[in-house]
Amino acid sequence: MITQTNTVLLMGLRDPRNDGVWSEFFGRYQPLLVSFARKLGLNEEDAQDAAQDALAGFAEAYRQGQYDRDKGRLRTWLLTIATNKVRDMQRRRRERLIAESGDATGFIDQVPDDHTLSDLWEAEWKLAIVRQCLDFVRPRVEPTTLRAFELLAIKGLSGEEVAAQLGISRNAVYQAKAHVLSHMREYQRQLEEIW
Amino acid sequence: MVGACLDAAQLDELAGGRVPAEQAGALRQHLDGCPDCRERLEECRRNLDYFNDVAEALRAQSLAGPRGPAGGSALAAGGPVASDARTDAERVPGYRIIREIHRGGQGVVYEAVQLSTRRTVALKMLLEGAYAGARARWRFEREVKLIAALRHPNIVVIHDSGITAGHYFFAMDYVRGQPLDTHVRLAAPPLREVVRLFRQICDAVAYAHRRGVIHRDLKPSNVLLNESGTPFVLDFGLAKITGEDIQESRAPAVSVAGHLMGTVRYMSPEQTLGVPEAVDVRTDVYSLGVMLYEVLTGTAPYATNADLAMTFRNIRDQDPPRPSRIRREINSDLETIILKAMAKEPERRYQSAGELAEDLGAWLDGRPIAAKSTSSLYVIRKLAIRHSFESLTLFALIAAMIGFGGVSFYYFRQARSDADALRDTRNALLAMNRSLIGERDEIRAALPRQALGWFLAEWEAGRLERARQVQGDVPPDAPEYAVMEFWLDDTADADGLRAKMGASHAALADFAVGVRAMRAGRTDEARHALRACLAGHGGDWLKSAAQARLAALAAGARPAEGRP
Repeated sequence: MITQTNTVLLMGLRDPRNDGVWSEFFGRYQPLLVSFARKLGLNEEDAQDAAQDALAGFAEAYRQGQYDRDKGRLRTWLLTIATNKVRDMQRRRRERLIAESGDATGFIDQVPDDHTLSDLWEAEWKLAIVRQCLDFVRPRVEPTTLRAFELLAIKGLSGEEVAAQLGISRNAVYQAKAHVLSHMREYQRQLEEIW
Repeated sequence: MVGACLDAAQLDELAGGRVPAEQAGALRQHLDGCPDCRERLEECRRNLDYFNDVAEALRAQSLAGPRGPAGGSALAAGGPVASDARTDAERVPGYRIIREIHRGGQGVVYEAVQLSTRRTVALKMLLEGAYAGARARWRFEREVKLIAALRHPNIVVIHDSGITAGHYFFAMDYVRGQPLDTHVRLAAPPLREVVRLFRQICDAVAYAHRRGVIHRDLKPSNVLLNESGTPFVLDFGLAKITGEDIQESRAPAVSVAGHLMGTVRYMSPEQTLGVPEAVDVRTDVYSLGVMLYEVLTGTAPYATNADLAMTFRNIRDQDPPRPSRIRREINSDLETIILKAMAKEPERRYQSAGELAEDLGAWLDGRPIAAKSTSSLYVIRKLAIRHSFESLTLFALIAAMIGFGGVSFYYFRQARSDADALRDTRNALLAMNRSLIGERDEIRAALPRQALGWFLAEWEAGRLERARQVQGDVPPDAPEYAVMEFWLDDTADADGLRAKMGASHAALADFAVGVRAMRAGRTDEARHALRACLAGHGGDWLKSAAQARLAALAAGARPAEGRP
């Protein structure tokens, strides 16, 4: 699963013909950026565009040597780029709306402050990592084990309810929970080093 | 070592603090002697923190994922789970949360500072919110515009509102003070003082009514007195917003029941029937009546308890004890005012909060009041009706006229025959709710054209609140919606409407222009536009409506009195 560290991935980006690296980079951060842009109010299509622009912008800046690892983490850097792209999109959308309807007064059309932005971004980042961890665990455990975990974590069911639903013992449910969590935590430690 | 090693379930419960005290002792004893289990428990604790993080992230995702906004407002759907509004509130852009003031069935209220103005505000986060879909959000915004436009010295001002991280929020004036009932209980002001205070409250409610806003959830806790004793009415129109969300998002039974439970004491008889359409300004008059009864007598007019069915029945059928028997100072005029405000039948109440305020003022000044005490003939008739089987039939008939007869009848009979079963009542309410939603969806799906007819009838009769309700059921992108908007706005420009409607709805635009000109008394313009409508490509309804108005013009008549 962990094929490239961040540094290797970034080095690969220097070579525009290295498609494999680009698509891994894209696959890793694109869903995160789309989701972030959606939370800021863009529709699916605009969010996709904003994510694409942000990643392309990042790759371009990186190739030109503007990204300096010492100056800040990739995470922060991407946030700045993504926010700018989202604001671009919002401005364009507003202009489009004004052009169409002549009405510029959206009732709650406000751009969140930086503090909110970075909170949202952190939440997205966390979610992306959790997703990766789940993807890592999925092929390594029994389907019932994963299902039990999902029912507990996502549906918020109690141990009893999960046991009844899956037809396993209550103890098996908590064994599954502990098992999946231990796996995920271990993988997350590795992930956080490279993301 | 004491006892067997702990299994996974026991460890998880122990780590999460979910072990009953009587069992914990035995487990602890074992742990003391078993390093293995202690180590496993530690691992389990580490897992638990991580699990909470993971669960929060995943639930936020699963909620936000498939039902995101269709390009709506800036901070639209998405964000964390509804179960913890605190973390959400801390993300409301432009505000800093100071503390939590109140947490209730509808949502959470915080004291907060609006960063741009440094103003202290009360920030209310509603539990229901952006997940309800684009239509609900649009309704929310429209409703909030109406509420935010209220400016009265005794109404709390809403400064800002929006949707953040999946929740609606409002920022309003922060009133430092206590609720009306607490004030009256603690300060025990003289009778006249309470009446004077209450008159101010009625004036505020009357003001809102004149602007087409019904409160729907008046109760003592929604009236705050600041430190200098000025009353402020809170949460105007919020009940409508949250109520609609409950229906639209098919919220779980608990919140529907919880919502009802919280406000049930001040609910009017028509509200207990659960028919939103039956609610009008007189519903607020009723709630004011109950509040007045309570603050003056210090007791509730009916027994209310957890048994919803019985409480509802009391509200519908039981006469409250005469206030003068509870407090001698209450003279017959004041008693008449109280009882008239809380009459069971809306038509027997004061027809507006303004009339109630007026009579309270008359009482304070020693002038004659407008209300008459209940006639004995009426009492006899009422008794006769209540104790005959016809009451059921009558009720069903009324309900059928309202339009949801079957369900209401079912519910009514259910409540009667099964008085003890709170759960049954709740189920019936839910079934009714679902059925109402079904019916409403059907109506909605039916022609907006039909809505236009209803709207016109209400608008021409000057019933703006109802007209707006009708408009609320029309999709905002429908041409009919634009026409209603045009009628509601006296300053809207006819050419603007024509341009907006385009060639395909030119006849409708002509009709709209004609109708408004007619109401404004500009007969020539009206005739011209209506003829243009007849000459265009409109439907049958449009043509006959235009013809009818042309005929009225020819006869020199004007439609119903009372310009809106």
